[in-house]
Amino acid sequence: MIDWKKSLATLVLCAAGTGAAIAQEPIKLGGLLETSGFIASLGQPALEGAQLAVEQVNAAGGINGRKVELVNLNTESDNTKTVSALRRLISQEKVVGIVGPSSSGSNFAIVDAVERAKVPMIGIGATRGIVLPPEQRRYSFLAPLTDVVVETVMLEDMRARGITRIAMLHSDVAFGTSARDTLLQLAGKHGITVVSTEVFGNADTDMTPQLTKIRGTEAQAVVIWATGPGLAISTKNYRALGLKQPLYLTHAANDFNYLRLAGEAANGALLPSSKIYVTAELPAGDAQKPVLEQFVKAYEAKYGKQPATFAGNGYDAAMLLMNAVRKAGDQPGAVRDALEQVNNYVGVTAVYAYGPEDHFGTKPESVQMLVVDEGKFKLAPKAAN
Amino acid sequence: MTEFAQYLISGLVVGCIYGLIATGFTAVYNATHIVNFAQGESSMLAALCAASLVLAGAPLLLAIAVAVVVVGLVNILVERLAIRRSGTDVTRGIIITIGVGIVLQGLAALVWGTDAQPLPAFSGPGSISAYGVVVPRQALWVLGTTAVVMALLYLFLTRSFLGKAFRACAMNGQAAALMGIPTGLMRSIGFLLSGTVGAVAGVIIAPIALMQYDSGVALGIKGFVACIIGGFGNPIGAALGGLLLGATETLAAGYISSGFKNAIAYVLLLLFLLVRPGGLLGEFGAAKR
Repeated sequence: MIDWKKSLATLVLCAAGTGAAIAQEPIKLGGLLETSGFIASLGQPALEGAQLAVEQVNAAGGINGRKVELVNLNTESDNTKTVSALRRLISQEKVVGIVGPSSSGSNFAIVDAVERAKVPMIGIGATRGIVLPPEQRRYSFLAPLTDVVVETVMLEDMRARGITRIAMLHSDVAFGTSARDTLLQLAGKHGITVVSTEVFGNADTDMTPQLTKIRGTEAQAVVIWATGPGLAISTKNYRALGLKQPLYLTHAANDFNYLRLAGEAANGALLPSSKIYVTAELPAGDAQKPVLEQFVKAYEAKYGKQPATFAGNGYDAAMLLMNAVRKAGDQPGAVRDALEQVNNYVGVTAVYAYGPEDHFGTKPESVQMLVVDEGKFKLAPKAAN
Repeated sequence: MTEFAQYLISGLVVGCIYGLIATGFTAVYNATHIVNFAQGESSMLAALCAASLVLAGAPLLLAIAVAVVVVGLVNILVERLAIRRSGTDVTRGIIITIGVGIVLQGLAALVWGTDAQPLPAFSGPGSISAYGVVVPRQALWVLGTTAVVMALLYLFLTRSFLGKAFRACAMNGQAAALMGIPTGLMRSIGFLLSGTVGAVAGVIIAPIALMQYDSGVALGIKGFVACIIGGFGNPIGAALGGLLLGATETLAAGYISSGFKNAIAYVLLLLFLLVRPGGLLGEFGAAKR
């Protein structure tokens, strides 16, 4: 009995000894990326992307000679757990910045606490409301393409295809409801009418009733906005019901597990997306092409699989934070100010530019319409005007 | 009319699953008076097992059969290792099943990860349409399999010697024991039945609903509600309760608002508990007394 206690104590002492031996303490970044729960299929790749970014910076000598450490706490996709995890990151780990949760709901749950703690957070949730209004959300930034940015590109694509009436099916969590509100606001500006919106519970397993209702409307195209299995199930239901209209999906569909789950049903679906899956198809002059090529290669070497969009989001968020630390030092307030001055940073997801009134960072120019073709993402053919 | 028929069909398909899971609840309840809160996990486990076997190259039907048998055995093990050791204390048994559910869920998360796993539809992804009503082929499998399983279960309980002994135990365990019926064996049979029926529900719905490590919880809750509606402990009531719950949910989602779907399930639960606590058909034991 005594023996193992002794060796444990020795071990602890050794660990403490090596800690003191390092001249400078590492710079700590916090992570709230979900590795279990309903949004784990987004949170896991985002974490892998962030870890890759930290590893690359450390391999290049760290920031001003100091190593960077990413402390990620799994919140199980639970909003309440995210709040307590945030508290732990700030009070115990003393992080200089946070790579935020993938779940929009969890982002909303912590924005006020982030504001009070005055520690910058770059969220991976794709909902604009997270950083609005800008004067009250001074410490919150976003890395992914937001719903306004992607829906703008999607609505333009619809207009080019001569579509004027659409219906929307979305999940009942913040990601779905906020996208619906945005779509209702934006559609008119592009000459498109939303004739019907239907909602389903995030854990529902059958969306046939909602889609049956949509089938009875005059919609010329249908938009489905959700994450996780719900998105794949509704795609399958859509095909099973024999709806013939073009199917538009959220940018959250650009996820390999979605393709695996939806199978053949996904073929032909159109979606707005970052350029990550079509790196090879991009023209040589595209500013993002070299960054994307480097990222995809490094990710594949480290994890042995193709990176998902969310991996790019996590990578961008971590890189943006580390660049800000390099520029402004390790005080959270200064890091925030540096983030707000980011202009023309070429990332994996987009070319970023933040400003005092703009914590979204991404622009419609970074978005491409993709089509699912034989279970793969391809650049969608341009619609003839 | 087309809309109504479409809603009804979707509702009945979901209802079949609720009904099967509810029947699983009654099997354990009748043998032990324990409410098995790990019931939903049987469905999840079977679906994920089958998905892995298919991925490993096994033919679909073999994969499904193996998955169902494995889950049945897991349930027997659970009874032997965890439930029987706690004696006949019902409360303790219920709490143990909650623990078992959490353990199974955790194990599934470790083995299969947190992503949903697809299982191919039994006879292709197509669907059959008539008069504007579309029925996916897999939905026919769900309806047919449920009917067969229910019929077999009914024959087993009413016609076979073992089934009769099982029912005797459910009605009065002590008297049955005095008559020489091995109650321990009957408890094992209860868990085996519950696991098998739950597993069948899991594999037939998996191609439609997609399963992941935490899908069992929601299924278990709905099955439990179906039990209350049908009358706890009554297998026929459980099946009816499931169908009623599924159809009501879907019709409410279609005609009122999809936001009401889950609310309807719980309103039904409350209504039955307040107005008719014995459920549609009354408790099995009470009805036979």
